[in-house]
Amino acid sequence: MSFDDILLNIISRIDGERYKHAAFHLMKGKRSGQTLQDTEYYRLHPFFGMLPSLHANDFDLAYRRLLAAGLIAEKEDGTVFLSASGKTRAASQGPVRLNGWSYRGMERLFFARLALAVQTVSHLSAGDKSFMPVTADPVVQRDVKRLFSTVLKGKKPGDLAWEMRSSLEAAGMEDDRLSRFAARLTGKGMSGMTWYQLSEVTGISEMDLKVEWVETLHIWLDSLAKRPTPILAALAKGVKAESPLTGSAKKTAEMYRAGLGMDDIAKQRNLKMSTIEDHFVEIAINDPAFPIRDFAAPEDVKAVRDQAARLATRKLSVLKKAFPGLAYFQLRLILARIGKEEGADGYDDHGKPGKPAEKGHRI
Amino acid sequence: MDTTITENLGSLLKRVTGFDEFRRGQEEVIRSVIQGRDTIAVLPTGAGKSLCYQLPVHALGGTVLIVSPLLSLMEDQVAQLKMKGEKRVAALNSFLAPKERAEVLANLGRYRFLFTSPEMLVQPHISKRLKQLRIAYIVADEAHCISQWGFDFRPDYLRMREWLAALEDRPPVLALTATASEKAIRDIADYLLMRQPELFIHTPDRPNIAMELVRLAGREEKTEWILKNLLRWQGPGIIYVQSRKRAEELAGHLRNREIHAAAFHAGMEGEDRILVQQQFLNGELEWICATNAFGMGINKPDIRWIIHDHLPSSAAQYIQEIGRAGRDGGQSLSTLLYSEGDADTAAFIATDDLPEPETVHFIGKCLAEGMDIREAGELAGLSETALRVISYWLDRLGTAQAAIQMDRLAKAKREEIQSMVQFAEGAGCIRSRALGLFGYSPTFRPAHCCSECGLDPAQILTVRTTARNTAGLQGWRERINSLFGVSAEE
Repeated sequence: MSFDDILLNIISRIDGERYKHAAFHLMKGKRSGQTLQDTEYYRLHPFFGMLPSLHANDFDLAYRRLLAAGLIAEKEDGTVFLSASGKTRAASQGPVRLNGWSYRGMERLFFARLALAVQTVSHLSAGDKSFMPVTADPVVQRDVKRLFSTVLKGKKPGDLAWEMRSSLEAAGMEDDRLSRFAARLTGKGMSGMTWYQLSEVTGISEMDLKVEWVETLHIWLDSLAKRPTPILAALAKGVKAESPLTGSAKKTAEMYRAGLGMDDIAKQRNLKMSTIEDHFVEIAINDPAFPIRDFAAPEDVKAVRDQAARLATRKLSVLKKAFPGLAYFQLRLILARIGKEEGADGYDDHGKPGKPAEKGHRI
Repeated sequence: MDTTITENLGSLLKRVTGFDEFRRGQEEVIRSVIQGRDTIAVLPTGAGKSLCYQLPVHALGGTVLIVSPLLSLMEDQVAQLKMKGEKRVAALNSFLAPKERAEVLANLGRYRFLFTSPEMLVQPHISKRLKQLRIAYIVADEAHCISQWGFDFRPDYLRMREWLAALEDRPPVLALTATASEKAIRDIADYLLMRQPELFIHTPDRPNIAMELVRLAGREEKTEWILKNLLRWQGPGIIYVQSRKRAEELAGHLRNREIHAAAFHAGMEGEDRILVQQQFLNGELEWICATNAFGMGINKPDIRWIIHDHLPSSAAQYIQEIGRAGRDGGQSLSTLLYSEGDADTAAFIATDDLPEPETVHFIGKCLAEGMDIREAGELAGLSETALRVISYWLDRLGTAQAAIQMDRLAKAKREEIQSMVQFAEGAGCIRSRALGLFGYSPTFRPAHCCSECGLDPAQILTVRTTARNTAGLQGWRERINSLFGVSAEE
């Protein structure tokens, strides 16, 4: 799927309720309460963090292309929605094969390790022990080095070649796509192509090539998880996010579970209250056993839910008008729980401390 | 004493590197370091500077602490040492993950070579650990970057002085650079608190690089000249350009003519920059059209031709860049394409990173009002480098003096460009005049000296023989197989 089509797909999900920035932050994988909340409400998980180093300029260009093509338009308040032709185009799109939520940019680590392992095996098998590594990252270098004393020890070059071929075969991707993917790999006497060069050879824009590359990695990693092979599994180790929480939110969750209040956590961690609030929204989104009763009365929760359903909106400003007595933070928490299975939010199910989140999404 | 060291040095060299003989200039520097003297060594590019800091530790034991101002350069040197089979080497820099850094810090004593950046050096917990180390000697690499008069001034490098000053029993310091003016050498000795340093200064002359100066009317004529000549003669070579846009433009023109070329500039992704270097080293690319982001740490011995599409902003930069040709000792060529308008662009680029005195006053005022320096810098629209420069001088001199300092630096830069303009517009042996900018003169006149001494480039360039085809996209199975050198059936 092209970058423009992906942007259109995202906009089709936030239709009329968010500004363009929401899509930008989503693709970059911004770990703010707002973006995480959006991801959950609008089911944007596939796109989360798909392009961590996306430039605002490139994004704006694509956005303006969609505007100019009449596929999207902006309301007076600046929120973006799909036009009739935009809806037709979005409906005709194939399935989304990205899995950003699971990998969060870490697919790049897998590729960096793979590229260095391939380069190293390629040079060693040609009897060349000194070469300039394709990645300058010492962490990646050490990861790969470790593999040569463990899983790669005693392996023949053909073994890695075989694993790559059969695993890619099994992942069910088009040959053209895989040829573009393989063109980025470097070996003895054959360097990988830069995005610019690949774009010249294929006639596909650099941006679309990068999107395809991320998608290819996600498809491959998903498939690899089901049919692991020894070397590739070692290269993919730790790439999939184990906990849906960001590191900092995880710490807040632990402290809360240990009995500290929000004020105490903010003080002890020397963080702003708004940051702690973001953490709680993140926890509310991801932890099926989140005790919302600690933060809002059951009747308020129900009233907000009903109102949100009646107005078919998840816009905070609209709901705040309807419930002036509730704080923004409370509204965000309540919204975070919408769509969670009934009974899983701490009312009927009286907490199972320490138990891993079973009903969370794509953990 | 001296004779024993001399004898030992020969066998030390043999034992560590397998070489029988030192290259010119290396031995004196190594001896001075082993004798525990502060040492400044100015050796031309390609003279084997790294051996000067790599060898003495094998005689002295302990750890060498190498302070390097450029992260990329540091990574490169670590990689090269590892390539030679040295295992006791590590880099302590901001690339490291916290866990990795802790690991390196916990094992400091294990390393023979420890690379670090000036910023790391002054961090209290790191500084403390380093002080417990048995440091054989300290190396300041690319030491010209410490001088405010150098074209590559890195304010962070000045922090090394503070660190050295705080050491109770300071090990000897070795400063290494390829190019340094007299002023810069004074700065180096001063900032590194050297005590009567031994100076080993070698002429930056590279007799195997012929020098050509071509005067043209403007940019279009330059493009024409480049295309005409590169279609006729072969590289590999580097074209140094002034802007990213020009790099892309020229590379595009060359590719349209079936010449394998690529642009290289700081706007590219890190991975792509490595790929371009890789392709150049491999011979898959013949020409690189690069901004000055390319070159430091590039170790391609057979570069035959360096072309400057613009006037370098200082003599030191010019000499450093042409010095990347002919490291294998083979006959090479450097060409400077000059047009009258070049001086203005050069001045603009060179002083672009240098804040105006008014800006210094503005930032000083913002800080006095309690604003964060980053915020103030953003308000003033300063680049990151400019902000670093300002921040350093404000800290040390206060607003008024810092503003004067900016003026002084801008003036010095303009003077350097002016002397480059005089060089490009003047007459007489180019080699003599280029070296004269540093106060040297050529040791001898090589057969292929310069375009003023009757150089005929046709005698040293190789005629282009084959028009190469651009490779298409390989099938993925085929590519994987050839990466591993296996046939399809395996």
